[in-house]
Amino acid sequence: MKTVFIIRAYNEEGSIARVVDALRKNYPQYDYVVVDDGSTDATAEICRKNGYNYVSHPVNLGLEGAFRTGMMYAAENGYDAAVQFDGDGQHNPEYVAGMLALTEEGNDIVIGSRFLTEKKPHTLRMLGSRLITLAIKLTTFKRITDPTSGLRVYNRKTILRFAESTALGPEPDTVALLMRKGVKVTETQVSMNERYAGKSYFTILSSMKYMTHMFVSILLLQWFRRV
Amino acid sequence: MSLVLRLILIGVSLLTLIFVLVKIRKSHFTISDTLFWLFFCLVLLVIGIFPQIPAFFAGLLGFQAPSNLVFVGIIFLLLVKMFLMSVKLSRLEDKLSRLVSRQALDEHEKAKQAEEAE
Repeated sequence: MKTVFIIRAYNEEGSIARVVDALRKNYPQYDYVVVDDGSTDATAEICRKNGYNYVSHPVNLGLEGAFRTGMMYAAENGYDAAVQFDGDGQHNPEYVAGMLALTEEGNDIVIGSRFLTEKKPHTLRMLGSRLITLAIKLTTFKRITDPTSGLRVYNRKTILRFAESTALGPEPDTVALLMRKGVKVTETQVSMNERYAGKSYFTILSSMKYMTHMFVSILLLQWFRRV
Repeated sequence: MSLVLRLILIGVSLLTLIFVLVKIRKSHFTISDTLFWLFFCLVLLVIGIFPQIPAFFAGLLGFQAPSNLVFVGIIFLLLVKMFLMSVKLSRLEDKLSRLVSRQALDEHEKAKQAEEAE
C-alpha cells in the first residue's frame, strides 16, 4: 500500500527534525509530508534546510485545517493510506505496519490506542477521555478505548472523504459520526512517548471548551449531520 | 411611547444612517451589507415618527406598553442579523481554510517542479 505520513507541525522547531529524520532513516518505505501550520518559529526553515517534503500554510489554521491539507495531498498524489502523525515526537512509527495491516483487512480507520490492553490511568485528562468513550458508546454502541489518540490510519476511501468534506476534523466526534454512517473503525494497542520539546496545547480552559465541543457534537449535533 | 424614547429612536436612526453613508463613501461596506442597516434605520425612524404604529400592534398582540413591543422587535431583528452573520462567518472560515490549503499545496508543487527542472 502506498502510504503517506501526514505530520502536522505548529511551532515544533525543537522536535520536528528528530521526528522526520528518524522516520526517513528507519522507515524509508513510507512517504511523508510535513504540514507546517503557519509556524512562527523556525519550523519551516528547518524543513527547507533539511530538504524535507513539506507544505507550508501562510497562516495558522489549526489542527483541522492542517489535517485537511494533508488529506488533500494524499488524495491528489494517489495514496492508499494516510497516517495521522504528530510532529512533537509522541508517536512511534513502529506501530504503523500493524495498523496498515488492519487497514488492508478492510478497516477504514485504524486508531492507535494506548488503552486497548493497558489500563487507563485515573488522571483528570483521562477522565475526559473516559467521558468521550462513554458518549461514543451511547450513540454508536461501540467502544473506542482511546478516542483522543492522534495516531490514526485512514484508507483511500476515508482520505477522499476528508479531503472533500467540510466540517470533518481529526477528532473523536468525527470518528463517532463516521462510525454511525457505517465507516469501519478499529483499534490496536500502541505506546506513546513524552513529547520531545515544546508544550501541549491543553490548558484548563481549552480542555473545557474541547470537552463541551465533543459532547454537544457527539450527543446532539450528530443526529442532524450528513456526510 | 414617551417623547424621550421617540426622540432617541429618531436620533439613533439618523446617527446610524450617517454612519452607514460614511462607510459607503469610504467603501468599507459592500452595498448588499448596508441594506440591512438602512432598513433598520428606516424602521426606527418610522416608529419614532409614527408611534401609532407600534401602539396599534401592541394592542393587537396584548403588550402592556408599545415600548415593550419596540424593544422586542429590535432585539428580534438584531438576533436574526447575528444569526445570519454567524452563518456567513462559518462559511468564510471554511473558504479561508480551503484557500490556505490549496495555496500551500500549489506552492509545494511549484517548488517540486522547480527542483526537478534544475
